[in-house]
Amino acid sequence: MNKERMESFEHHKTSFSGMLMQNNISVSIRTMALGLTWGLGTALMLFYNGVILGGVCWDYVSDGQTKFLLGWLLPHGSVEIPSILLAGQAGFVLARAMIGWGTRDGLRSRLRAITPDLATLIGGVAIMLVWAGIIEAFMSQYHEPLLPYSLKIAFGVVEIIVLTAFLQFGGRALERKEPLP
Amino acid sequence: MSDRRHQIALLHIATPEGVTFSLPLAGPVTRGLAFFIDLAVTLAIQRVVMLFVAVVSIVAPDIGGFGAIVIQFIIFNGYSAICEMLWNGKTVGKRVVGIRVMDERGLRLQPHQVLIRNLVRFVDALPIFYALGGAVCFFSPRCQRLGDLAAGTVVVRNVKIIPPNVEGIVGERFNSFRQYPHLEARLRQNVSAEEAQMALSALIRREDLESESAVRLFEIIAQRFRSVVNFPDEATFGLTNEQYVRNVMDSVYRKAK
Repeated sequence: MNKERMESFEHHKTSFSGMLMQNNISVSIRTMALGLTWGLGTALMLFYNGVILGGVCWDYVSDGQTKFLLGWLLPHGSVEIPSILLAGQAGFVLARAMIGWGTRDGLRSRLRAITPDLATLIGGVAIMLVWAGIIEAFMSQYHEPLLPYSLKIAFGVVEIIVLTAFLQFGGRALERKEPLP
Repeated sequence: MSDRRHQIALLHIATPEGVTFSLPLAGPVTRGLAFFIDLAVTLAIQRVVMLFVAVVSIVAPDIGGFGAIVIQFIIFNGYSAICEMLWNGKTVGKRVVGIRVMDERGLRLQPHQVLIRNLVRFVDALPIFYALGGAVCFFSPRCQRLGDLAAGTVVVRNVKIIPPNVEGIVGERFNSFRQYPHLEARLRQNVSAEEAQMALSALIRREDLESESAVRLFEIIAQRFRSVVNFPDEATFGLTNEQYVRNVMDSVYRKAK
């Protein structure tokens, strides 16, 4: 980024974060909704995003800029990438209900059973993406010498650990209270 | 058009109490009309909100830009969901057209159902102009688009029910049947809607009838009601057939206090 653009960015961080939130949440909603195409659309969406991201990453890694790349992407990517994956999960939950594997229930009952889960998943994804949008605009775009890469990478790693712990252990207490099926 | 009225799709809901009721479903055209009204409303809201955002932008352009993006996103994606959650399944367009969203099993509409039916809208709008959703809705036995299918909702027409003005016909007279609430309850349960309607019509036209035929008519009707429920002699002592029918009508149609 040259100096002029950097300065113009300085004055648009907030709207930039809004743009990121809007775009990412839209993509997530679409990824979930496309579960209705028996998961084909969801898979395509995930594949496309994965290829783009993978291509960019490979470009930097092959150039020997792995540290910069991690420092740039991890602070927001460690929340953003899991959230698109969760949106994909919501899409496949919906797709599974559409297809009806492993159950004798009719289509309507199958869909009825998963609607609350879809709402929970997409709601959680939206919250995560608001966080990711703030971090991406206000932290990820600052590099050395202002922000050391090691600090940014450490921040990203902490986010991954916290998120994993939450997804692993969150909701356990609630589950225990419910009677066994 | 009148021919089409007989083909209106109905949603049948059977309750655990063994009561079945039917509601007319809203077709793709009606729903499309509601959609266009809602589109106009969202655009109007967007215009007004953007005026405020423009004012904010003078002071703080960055915050204003953020507001513009986020608020427009919320308006265009959340308008229907927020309206339907707060307004018992209605948006402005649906209210104007006279339709509403409801649970397909007749249960209370849950917020997560409203959320999902509106978030899945994206697929219904594919490839252009709601072609997919419209086609699915047209061929679906319950006129559901994909979003409705996923959320377990249907869109029904509002049915206006005008309750008969029974007080005006029957009058606020003493009704000896009221002392037997359990028998009145049995009456309400066992007298069919058609029978009740007929008896009420007979009372409304009381003055137009020949006195002899009136006597005969009310004898037949009272006989029918007597065969349904047998009130004790204290309650029916000295009642003419016509008064008997009036009492039955009061018992059947009286609003619960």
